[in-house]
Amino acid sequence: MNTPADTPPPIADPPIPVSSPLQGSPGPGGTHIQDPATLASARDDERVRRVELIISLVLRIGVVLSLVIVAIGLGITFAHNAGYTSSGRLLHHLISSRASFPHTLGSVASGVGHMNGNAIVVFGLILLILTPVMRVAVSIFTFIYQHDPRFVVITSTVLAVLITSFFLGRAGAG
Amino acid sequence: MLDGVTPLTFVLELFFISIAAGVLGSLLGLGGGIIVIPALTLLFHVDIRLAIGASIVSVIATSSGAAAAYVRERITNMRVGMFLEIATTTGAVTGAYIEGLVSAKVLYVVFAVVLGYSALAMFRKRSSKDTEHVVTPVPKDRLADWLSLHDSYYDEAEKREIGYQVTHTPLGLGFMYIAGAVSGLLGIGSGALKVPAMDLAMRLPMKVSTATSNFMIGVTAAASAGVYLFRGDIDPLMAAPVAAGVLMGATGGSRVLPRLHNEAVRGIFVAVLVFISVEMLLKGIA
Repeated sequence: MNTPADTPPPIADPPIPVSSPLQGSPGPGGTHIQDPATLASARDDERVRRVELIISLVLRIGVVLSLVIVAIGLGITFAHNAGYTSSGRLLHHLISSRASFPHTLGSVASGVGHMNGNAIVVFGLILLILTPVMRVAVSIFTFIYQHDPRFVVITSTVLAVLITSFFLGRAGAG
Repeated sequence: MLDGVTPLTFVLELFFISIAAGVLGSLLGLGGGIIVIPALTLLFHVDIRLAIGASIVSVIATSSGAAAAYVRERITNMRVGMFLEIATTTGAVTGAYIEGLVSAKVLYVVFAVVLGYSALAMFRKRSSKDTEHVVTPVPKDRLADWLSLHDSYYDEAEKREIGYQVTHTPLGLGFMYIAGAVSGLLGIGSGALKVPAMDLAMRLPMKVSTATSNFMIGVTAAASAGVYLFRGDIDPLMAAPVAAGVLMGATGGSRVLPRLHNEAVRGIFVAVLVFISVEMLLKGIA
């Protein structure tokens, strides 16, 4: 990354600082076969690549796992409510009334404990909502690891907004 | 219309209509949410707030799936994405909060306007000739320099690395706040608003804009989904089939079918979307 647009690499490509240049990132001990700057930037590239793969993995696992839980919950809901598969009179109640399903952390937790289908579905949905949040949390650590204080602050701010949003919703529900 | 429909058939119908919405969304380059919400409200007469709650969950699923792929292919500019997420998440919280204050009629009207705009914007983008990769010098942007937002990506079609400079970051931030607010208010990804902000204002290449928009949509949607969930607007019986259906439709659609380039067919779809937008408008002002 960070290559200046459409210019051939300058003779001494400055190691664009992910870490502060003043603190002099410790050069790789020993090998002097390659230009240390190129070596450092190759290492940075390698790091960035690893970050990208971790983030990609977090997203995929989160989506698949949460949808599996949602499907299990849905199955339990229909298995436990015989009327859901036969009666047409329940539906109106189900799609118009609000808050007839668990939507607080407490009710979801106790519902999951009792194998309540709807609570398990909501638990899966919470996991799904938390997947991008996890992605943000992971990137904070990777920016710390890369010594990039500006982006540590930026991603922490995003995480703070996300956490605040959960509390705003609960306040609104009360 | 819903007499005699059991919850089971309802869930199955939602599932199939959501798959269709996902496929259509990926064909047109729009999200599934903007199509599934009219389907739920106009066909199934679902309360629009519950439709928005179900849609926002599907947006997270689709975006996270797509973002994972884009990140692996290294098209996404993650630094730009993460920086702009400050604005989109704040906007999303604002939008979700406003959604709780306004009446359903207002939501129908705003939705109609955004749907109409997205349909037309998508059509216009296609009609104009693709003049990509003409690298023009951009105005200097010290914020972008300071945050090292400039980057490059490997273009599959051209088989070379294409470098680019980012500019007008504060302007982009402003647009992103609005895009986030619309996303939070209507439960859609609002990629139709995010992409032009990066493409036209910040001058990111089109492919990078699209990938980065997808990358941000999930986090943006998570910010408003939290508000909806604890408010009781995410009905498990609706959100489950909608999330799974849109995700399957969108991923399946993008793998099997190429984007529609046929002008005439696209024209028909745009006409249908504009018609739906008028229906939503009528429901809002009735």
